[in-house]
Amino acid sequence: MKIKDFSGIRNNGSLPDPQDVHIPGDSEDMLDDYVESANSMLDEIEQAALAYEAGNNSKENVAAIRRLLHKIKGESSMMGAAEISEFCHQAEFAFEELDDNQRPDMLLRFKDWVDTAMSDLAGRA
Amino acid sequence: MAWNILIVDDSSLTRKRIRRIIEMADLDIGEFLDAENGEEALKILEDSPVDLVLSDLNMPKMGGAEMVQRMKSREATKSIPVVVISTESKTSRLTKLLAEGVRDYLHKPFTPEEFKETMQTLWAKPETNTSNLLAQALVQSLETMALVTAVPVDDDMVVPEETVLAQIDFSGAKKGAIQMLAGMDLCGILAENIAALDTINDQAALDALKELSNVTCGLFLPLVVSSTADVFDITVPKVATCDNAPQWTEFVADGNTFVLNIEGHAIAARLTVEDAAMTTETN
Repeated sequence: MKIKDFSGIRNNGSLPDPQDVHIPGDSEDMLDDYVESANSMLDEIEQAALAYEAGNNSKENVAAIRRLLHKIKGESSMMGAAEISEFCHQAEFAFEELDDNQRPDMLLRFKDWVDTAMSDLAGRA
Repeated sequence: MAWNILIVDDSSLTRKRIRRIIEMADLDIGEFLDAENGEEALKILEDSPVDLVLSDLNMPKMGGAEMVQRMKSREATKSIPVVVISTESKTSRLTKLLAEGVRDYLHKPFTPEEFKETMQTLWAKPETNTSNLLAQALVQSLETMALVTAVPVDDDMVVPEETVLAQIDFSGAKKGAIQMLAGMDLCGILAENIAALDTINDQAALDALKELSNVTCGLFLPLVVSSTADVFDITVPKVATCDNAPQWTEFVADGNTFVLNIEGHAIAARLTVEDAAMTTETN
């Protein structure tokens, strides 16, 4: 499968359609667990991003964001959701590249995209 | 033998998914145990018989690297094989972990077939710890003979483009070869320190790497065999020059190879060893 281009998260460019994410058949029976886990982490990312925007760029908050992005990437990878895993990978890059002012917007954009993808996947379960 | 497997990952979903993949691999598996981080895994290892640990690297409280270090420092856990499961591709961190005793790694996601293949390799090649012993011998040679300090690899290390390869073949109770790969720059430093030469040329650099390989081999061999067992025939080293990085990439590709950082320069050693008795049977 050709991996789509998610580099738009790094420069505020366009992103692929979140409602067109592929999940292999042998993972489908774990889809509910995956969506539930991802949604919980997306909530945490949103909280962390809003705190960041309000000035909390502490080591702890930064570490929490890195850990969440990495964990969503790991779970997506194990589920065979290569597109979401790649999107997380690009978001990890973006987080390191962007400055303090740009990071919260990128994280919220990331959250919205994955949120939409998860809603779409939940509908398929 | 049915293997009891401990899965260490901070994601319960990932642990469940790994378990599913293992079940699909159709191997003789006993009990599954799981832990959210290295700390929890070490506690489980104290109380439960575990034959294999599959571990993530990045986990809160205690990550996979620290867990491996602690396992290797305890008599009861040091010989339990650990396979790292990570989204990372081959990195210096993974190379270092392989040198420190991690037996193999699987890239997330992996298939039942890939898991099966890894397990078959693991079962076919029992741990000898010789790679770690060779690392110790090399560090000792470098520090006492060449007066340089060896430290673990890091991202700032220079990976040389022009490399030199030295090889020592040995035979006896065990038969095999030690190969060392280094850049010409590092060989120049070795030549200067070993021979205290004023002028370093290419031949002096090659000779220094051969000399270092000889001493390392001499220190390594008594560590892996009984001192009364055999006399080893060590052949004259042969040297090949390699002119580019692909050779280097090949050299860091397996568990019997390790890399050290000498003042920012990389040196790699690779060990291939087999029992002479086994060779005789094969012949």
